[in-house]
Amino acid sequence: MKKFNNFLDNKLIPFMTKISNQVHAKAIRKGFIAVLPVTFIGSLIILLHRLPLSIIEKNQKLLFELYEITLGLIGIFLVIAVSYNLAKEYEMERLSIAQMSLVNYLLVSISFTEQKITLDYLITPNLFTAIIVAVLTVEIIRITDQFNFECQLPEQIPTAVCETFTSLIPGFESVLFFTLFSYIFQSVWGTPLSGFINYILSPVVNIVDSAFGVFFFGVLSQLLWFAGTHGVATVGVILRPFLEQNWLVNAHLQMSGQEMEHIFTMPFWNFYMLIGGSGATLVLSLLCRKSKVEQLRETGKVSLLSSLFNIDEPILFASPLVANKIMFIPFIFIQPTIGVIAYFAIKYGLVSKSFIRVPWVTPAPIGAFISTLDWRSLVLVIVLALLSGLLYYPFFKRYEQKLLQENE
Amino acid sequence: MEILLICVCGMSTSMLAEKMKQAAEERSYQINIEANVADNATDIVPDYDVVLLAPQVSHKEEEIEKIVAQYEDVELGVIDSLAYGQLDGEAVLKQALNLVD
Repeated sequence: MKKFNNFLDNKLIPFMTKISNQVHAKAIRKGFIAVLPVTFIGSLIILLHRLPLSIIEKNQKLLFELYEITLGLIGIFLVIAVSYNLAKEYEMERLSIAQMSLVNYLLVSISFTEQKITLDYLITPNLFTAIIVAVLTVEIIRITDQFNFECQLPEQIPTAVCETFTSLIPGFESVLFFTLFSYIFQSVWGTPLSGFINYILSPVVNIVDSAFGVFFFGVLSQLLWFAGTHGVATVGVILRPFLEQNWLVNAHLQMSGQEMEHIFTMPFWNFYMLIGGSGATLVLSLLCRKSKVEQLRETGKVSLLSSLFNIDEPILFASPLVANKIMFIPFIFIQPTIGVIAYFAIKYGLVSKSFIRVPWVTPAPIGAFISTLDWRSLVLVIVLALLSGLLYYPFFKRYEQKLLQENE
Repeated sequence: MEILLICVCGMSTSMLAEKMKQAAEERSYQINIEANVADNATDIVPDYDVVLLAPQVSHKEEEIEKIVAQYEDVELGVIDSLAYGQLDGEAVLKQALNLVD
């Protein structure tokens, strides 16, 4: 245990902290937050699109178009948001850099072959391309800027004239870079660069979207929490782009009348795993509320209501679960276990896949229902919550017993 | 006096902020307490006198310290994890006041 704690505190935490404090990670995180309004408006449109009302059926086409210009074009909003925030981190000119990134994103997403412009790649979810283009554009501009281009002009000519021209160089260079790349890819590969990026990342997407991925990220997040660090946010640096991409792909397939592909999505993580908050603590809060020990009862009182909305810091820090050896095994493994159960329930068709994004602070059963529009998901969440309570129970009793003895 | 509480999403800190406001009101202190997220720290830190980090973002202390150090009259602290879990407004308010003294 000591060795293990050592590993957590001296290896895992510093490593994950380093990744999460990194400027690019921060810009990507802020970028995802910035596109949330568009995301939720788009989700509402999908929801409306599915309502069995005659007024909706008459306006299906309008709703589909609204979906395409919000979620279909999400890459456009994300490339602007990420590059803007990264430029801000570097204290560079934000708005013009965001525009330059958008130019480059369009360059790599639009197919120009045979004198015909195809927008297919622009309106399919392309979060990875958006992130890569945003980061590369800012970096190219930043590095070129460091060369400090100067030109020699006669004294009579104002220096601002010269600067007008030199200030164009970095942005121009980034456009040149992406033009070259997308030209090469379009001629060799036959699709725009964004199609290629999705293609080479598909094995990684498949590893993340598997029972192994669910379990691995579930455990990693909980280990970080056990050491007192916000696991979801830290793991999210790597995981979030995949989970957001996955539900967006599902939405895209659903809206175009095809079979959905992905199981491990943002709604899956929020509502099948973080039931009541990190560690799936909803029913545990209830156990605390009914406890014989006053300290636990107090915690239960504070945490039960907030846990309904998936906020469980009170129970994590006050009962406590963080750094509590007796609770180590359930705290680390219950959340990934119920995640894997949910994964197979969906894989074998007992519950539908998710394709609508709901704010994470929605109570889990409701969130799961809205994101799948399948009543069976509501049942699944309740079963998983009860199961998590059942699995916590023996450990909780042991901890309660220990506190009782200490109080005597 | 202005106090800023920082966590990841500004959710759990907003619960604590409410409790601290209650504690401040009971003592008729003129204190404004707000919750925000760590990623916004650079923009908002200068508006406050005390910045308190939630325990789950204590690993960001070094990063936030760099921002706080740019302003002479801003103090930084990490909230005790038990007080945080219990949403003990009084204890955390006391911690904030001690930092200013």
